[in-house]
Amino acid sequence: MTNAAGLAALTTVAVPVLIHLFNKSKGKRVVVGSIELIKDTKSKRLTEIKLMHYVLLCLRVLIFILAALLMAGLSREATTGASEQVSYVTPFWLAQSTEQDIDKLQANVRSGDTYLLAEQIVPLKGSQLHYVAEKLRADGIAPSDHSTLLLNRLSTVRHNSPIHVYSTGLAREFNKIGALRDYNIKWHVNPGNGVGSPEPHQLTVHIIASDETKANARFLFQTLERIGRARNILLAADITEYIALQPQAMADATWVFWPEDLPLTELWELSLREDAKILLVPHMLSGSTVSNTALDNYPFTRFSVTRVEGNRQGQGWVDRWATDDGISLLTSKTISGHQVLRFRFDPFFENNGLAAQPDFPIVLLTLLLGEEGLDDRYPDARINLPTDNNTATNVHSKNTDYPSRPLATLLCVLLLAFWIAERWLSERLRHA
Amino acid sequence: MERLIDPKTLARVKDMPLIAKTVADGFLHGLHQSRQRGVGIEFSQYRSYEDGDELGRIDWKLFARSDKYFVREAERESEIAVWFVLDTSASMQVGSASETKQPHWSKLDYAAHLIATLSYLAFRQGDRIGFMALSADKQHVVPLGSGEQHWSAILLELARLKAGFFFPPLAQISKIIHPLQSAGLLFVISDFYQRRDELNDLLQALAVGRTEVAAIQLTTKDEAEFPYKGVVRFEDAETGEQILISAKGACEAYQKRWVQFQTELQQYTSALSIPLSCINIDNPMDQAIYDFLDSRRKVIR
Repeated sequence: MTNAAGLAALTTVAVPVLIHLFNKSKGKRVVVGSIELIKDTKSKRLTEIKLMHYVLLCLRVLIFILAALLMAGLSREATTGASEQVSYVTPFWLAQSTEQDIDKLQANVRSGDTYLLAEQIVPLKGSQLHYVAEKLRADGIAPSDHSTLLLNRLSTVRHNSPIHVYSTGLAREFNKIGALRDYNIKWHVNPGNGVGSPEPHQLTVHIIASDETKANARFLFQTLERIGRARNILLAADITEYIALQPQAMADATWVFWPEDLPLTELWELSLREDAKILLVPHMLSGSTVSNTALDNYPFTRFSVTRVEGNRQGQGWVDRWATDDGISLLTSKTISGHQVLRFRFDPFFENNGLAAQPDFPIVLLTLLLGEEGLDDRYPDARINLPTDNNTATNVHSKNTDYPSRPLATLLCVLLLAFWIAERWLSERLRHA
Repeated sequence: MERLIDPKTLARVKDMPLIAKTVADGFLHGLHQSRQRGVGIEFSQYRSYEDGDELGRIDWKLFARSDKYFVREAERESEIAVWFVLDTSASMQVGSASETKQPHWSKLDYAAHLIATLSYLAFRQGDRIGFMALSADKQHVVPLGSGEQHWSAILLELARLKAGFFFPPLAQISKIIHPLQSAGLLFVISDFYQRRDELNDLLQALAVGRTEVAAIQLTTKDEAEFPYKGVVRFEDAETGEQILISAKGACEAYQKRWVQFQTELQQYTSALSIPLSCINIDNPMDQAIYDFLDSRRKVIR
């Protein structure tokens, strides 16, 4: 909110100060025959009234400052529409994009500037886009993280208009996307039918419930149902009691959720797909898992799903995911040709573990897909996926509207409050 | 004759002799008595009896002839000298500020009209009148004299009056006030605001002689009621000293101080056997003069 008009408006703060000084020198003058009679009557009230005058001055100065700030906000909003748009393009998006994608980009940008997020920020002219795309495709460029580069850029260069970022849906392109949420960014992820948009995932999940894990299995099933409704995924999930298990029932499963308290050997007797993965569902009394503590510094933005390829000596379990703070979340081990995943903590711990968090469906989805989507990490990004107000996508949704909006409302309320206080005090002083 | 005349209305007339006569005429018939009644009586004229005339003054022989009541009027020669001493210090320029309606009516204006009226009454009685305006920088003296011309001279002096400075100390005016100490009636008209007892000293100096001194204190409604609100910068008319006060908070203390000031003045004048009349310049003048003369009649009887 520091633009020139706002700063110019701030100089009006001098007005109440001048009025204060002027009134002070002038006062209400009454000539009397003898001041001796009045001299003895000096009361404490004068100090009180002087104090009230200073409070009044403060209120008036604050009113002018707030008004100036509001004006600055308004003029900023007014200029936003008029300013040229700035676009940042990731090389991977450019390499994956079709001619139509690039034409759409050019149509969106119009006379604005376009920059390529390469190792450095490289300005691109509209005519160069096709050529650069061609070259990148020829080089066979791989997705890489641009979040630090963009963050540095945005913290040094000021843009009055929303910033357009063109990226593929891969989270790897913006690992620290959470740090960018304070900027007015419009995300263009896999625009239209553009390249880079993966085929809808097909997931078939069979949940096996033992007596011990029945409640947790049920919860997982419900979560999967929500994901299936909310995301553009072909997701089939069912829940089966361990005792009613049919040997052929698991043949189509991409994922099997297996009760942790049952021996895995029984699972291998069933016929499984070769690429089927197994997630061990903790049972209710699985206090023996590594950590029962709820995640510190949660929310999801801090939940950087880092692939850790550490090796736990002696057990053969490999850390798969950890939080930013280094808390290990998931370990994996390949048993009988299948990848078996195990929580390093109890997600269902005392109703406030990971499962109780609103982000849990997204975490689970990320786990199931094996690839973390950009929208998973930053659900507020505008992404062409079906959304439902009551779905997992929006459970996490936070108000990331441009910060000036609630601030402006707050300023308005404050302005009104100060104005009422000023009127009240002014009236009191008049009749003091 | 309308009894109550608002002096501010009269002030618009800008004709002091007319105002003085208008106000005074209300008292002349049957109200006032000369102190020197019976001294040097010479028949002047008959006039019709009016309420208030003493029955003893009716000419019964004439009544027998004409069946009407006539009173014998006499030319009265008076040996009394009536002096008017007016304080023209700057504080007398103060008027009622709370009423901003024109014209501005200061204590000095009021005093001038009061003196004009009282001196008219005195001169109509045949008394000799003199006038003295005292301030530290200027002293105007109109010596004793009688007759309408002399009265006009006093009026001229009153019309020229301007308030300024403060009241002079006794040492400065001791020579001028010498004639005041002869036998007679002496009015001291002031607001009695003083820096170092100058007015008290003057009263004391005058009270010791054979002179009968009457003190008239002029006040305003604002002084008595202190109707101010908010933060007020009060300025002393004489010294220019200013003081910032919260009027509401100071009101009560001021009124106590005001009563104390009035009481002290009353006590001081009583000690000197000087009758003190307090006149509010915001009240009608003829009422004030009536009250004043009434109180004097009581004193004389």
